[in-house]
Amino acid sequence: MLHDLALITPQLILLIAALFTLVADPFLPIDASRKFWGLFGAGMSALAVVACAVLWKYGPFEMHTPAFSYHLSASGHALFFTALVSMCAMITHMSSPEYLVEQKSHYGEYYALLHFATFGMAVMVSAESLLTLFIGLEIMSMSIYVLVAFKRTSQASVEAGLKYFVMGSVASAFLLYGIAFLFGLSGGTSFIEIQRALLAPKPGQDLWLGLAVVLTGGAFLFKVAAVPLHMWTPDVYEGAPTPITGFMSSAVKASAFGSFLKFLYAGLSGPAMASLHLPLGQVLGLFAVLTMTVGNILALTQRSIKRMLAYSAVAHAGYLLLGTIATIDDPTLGAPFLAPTGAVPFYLVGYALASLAGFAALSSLGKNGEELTTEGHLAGLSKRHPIAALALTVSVLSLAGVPPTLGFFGKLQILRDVLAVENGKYLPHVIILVLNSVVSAYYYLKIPVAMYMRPDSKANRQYVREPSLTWAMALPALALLALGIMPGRAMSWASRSEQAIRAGTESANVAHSYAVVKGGGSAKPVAAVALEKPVAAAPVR
Amino acid sequence: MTGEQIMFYLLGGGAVLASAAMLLPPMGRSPIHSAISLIVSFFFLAGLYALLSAHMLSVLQIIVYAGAVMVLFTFVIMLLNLNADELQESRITPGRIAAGILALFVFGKLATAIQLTTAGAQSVDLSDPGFANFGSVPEVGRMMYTTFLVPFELVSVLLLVAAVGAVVLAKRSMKYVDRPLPPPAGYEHPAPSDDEGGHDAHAHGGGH
Amino acid sequence: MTSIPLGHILLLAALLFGIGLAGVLTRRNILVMLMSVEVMMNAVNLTLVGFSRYNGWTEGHVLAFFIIAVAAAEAAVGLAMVLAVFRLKQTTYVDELRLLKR
Repeated sequence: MLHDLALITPQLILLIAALFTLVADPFLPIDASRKFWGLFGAGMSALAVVACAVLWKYGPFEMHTPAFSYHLSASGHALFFTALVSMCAMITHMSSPEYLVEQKSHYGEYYALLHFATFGMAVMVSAESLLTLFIGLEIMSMSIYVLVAFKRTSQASVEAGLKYFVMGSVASAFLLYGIAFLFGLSGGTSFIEIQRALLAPKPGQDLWLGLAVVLTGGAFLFKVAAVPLHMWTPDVYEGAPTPITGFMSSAVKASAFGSFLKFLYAGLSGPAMASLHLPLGQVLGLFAVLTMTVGNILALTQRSIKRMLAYSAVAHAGYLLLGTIATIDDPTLGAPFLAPTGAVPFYLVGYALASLAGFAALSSLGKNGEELTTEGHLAGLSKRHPIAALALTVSVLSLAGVPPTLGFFGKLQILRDVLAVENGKYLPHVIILVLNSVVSAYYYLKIPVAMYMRPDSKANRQYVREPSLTWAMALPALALLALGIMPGRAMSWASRSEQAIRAGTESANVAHSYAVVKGGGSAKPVAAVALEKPVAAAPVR
Repeated sequence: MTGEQIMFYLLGGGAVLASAAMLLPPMGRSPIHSAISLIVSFFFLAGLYALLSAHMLSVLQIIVYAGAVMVLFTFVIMLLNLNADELQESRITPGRIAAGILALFVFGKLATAIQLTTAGAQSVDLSDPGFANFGSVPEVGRMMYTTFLVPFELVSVLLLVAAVGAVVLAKRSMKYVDRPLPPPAGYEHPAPSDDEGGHDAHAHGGGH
Repeated sequence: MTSIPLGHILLLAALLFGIGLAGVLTRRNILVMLMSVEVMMNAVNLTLVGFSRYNGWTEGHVLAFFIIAVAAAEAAVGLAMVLAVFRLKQTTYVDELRLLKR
């Protein structure tokens, strides 16, 4: 039992942080609360990252053994994404206090909910069963709904929360319906059970599976804001408190893609899926192209930077979807996988850091309940707040994919991987991606131009300059540059995280012959097999 | 037709009718009538669960859904005290027709798939001694606290999040103490908007 | 054995799901939209119970239990959200809200 608990240390740290914040907040004087919770939250999130790193390096356990009756695991994939979302939470905690005080919405519950959201994401990406994945997703979503509406006196914020909530709960219902059909196929919700059921095909299975994939996939596409389901994005991103917008665009997207990859990889692979004739790769490709094009075109017309970055987030969801194809190309789904290069996790690191830096910089603009985040408000920012201007510049350069930054290597990796699929089957998609990047450079570069070239105006003199907020924008921007100069390390982490799912999947297929039945009691044979496979496949630790 | 089948179609028809009544006039015209139709629909579903040997779930359906969730709904409707003016729904618009067609389309797809895949499905025999406890409280409870312990614990976190979130959103006056700094020169305060109550004893918005 | 065909149980559930979806898409009162989501969740539960009955899987009942809990949590947050909006706008109609109209 303790052995198992050690596997979920990062999650436990986040949960304890949330509960402590909730309990201790009423006892803190207001001034102390404003100073303390941001630092405490950042510290606890950093501790969760450290715990992930320790497990990653020294994990004495079978890295792919699902613990707790196939509900959670500490696979490399889970650890990578848990560390990523905790890192996002850390930056968000640092950028929040001053913003909230200026917006007159500083309450301790904010930090507790932020911890809960991170906990939900950590659960979601470490889930080994669809049920756990769903509950993690709900914990995350509930917290985010409330956080979006946290500026209770702002109509935009509360309405954005409501809009996100209504659409999100419909998406949850679709996800559940899909899970119900997968349950009907397999008699369970863990990825291993689903895979095992797919190995022994039943009559009519294809249609069931197709239905389940459509229903669950729709819910995931909603969460990552892919195009037919992106309508909520601009309003919610604009209405939400700016640090939360940054958190949503980095951590929510990362965890949604993390669990989506895991679901596709670990849950829906196997010969049955390969024989399904569901052109998953082509469907995803279509969504990817639509998403990036629509997102970029709409972003061109925006005046508000928050709205513009919201549409840019939609466009990036498109790039990421295209990257997903590279790892789960359809004919090979279930059959031998492509070499997992980790394009999507790697891209997500760059994208998350860029969003965090950008939105932290935007959080510093505006005072006394006002947000000054239109293009005009940025004029001359380089004189008033050089660090914010610099951070925002690095952020948009990375989003646009300009070379010295991490965003460039992320895009390069996706391009290379997608081109490698079946001798350039997706060449048109890649060309569209490149064209899109060129278009996006136009609206991204408007921001540095405004900050550095346009004259300062008197009306714009409202901004916050506090050490924690400054660090919150400086750290991710520095990381973008540092990792951009030395991308090798991050790339190997990302590829190892994808290898972890692959190894887990293979071990599950092998374990099939052991005829493991449901439940935790007889988990030993799987563990035994899981131990051998991944160690052989794992790269240098 | 066996008695079981007759019960199924009666209960199922009732559930569908009650759910449809929730949306359509005359019942659907006011939220409170919609809520009552929904409660009726939940009772029909509880009957269906009992018919399908999900005894524990049937009881939970009544206690949690009809007893707690719907009470919450009716409570909020009464609290908001929606007057007749607001209960008017506007007329049929092209958008709504499109939405209705979309819902019909989804249902049609589902129905075709279901018909194609469930033909000839045979159920297990619940009179088999192996299924003696099927759907009973001990059986479901045992599974909930063993195989599904982790999701069970996680759901407790979810409920806590929901409780905290609901308090944060719905609390009438979280008195906000502004930062004790003078506003910058030349800056005019926006109209005070935060707390209409103002005499909340708790200066800080903890969950009291 | 049960004499109720599995297909009919699932069709009933699909019909309820469709009704719920139609409610969310066509009705403009937020409270009724939330109720419609509850109907969709119930349709899922019925699907699970049907599968469980046919295969003798008690797991389906446990899943349905979790879905009931999630639905309760969603109702609490959703209604609180409605209250928060009502306090600012005095309405429960999405047509009168700035953002949701789009």
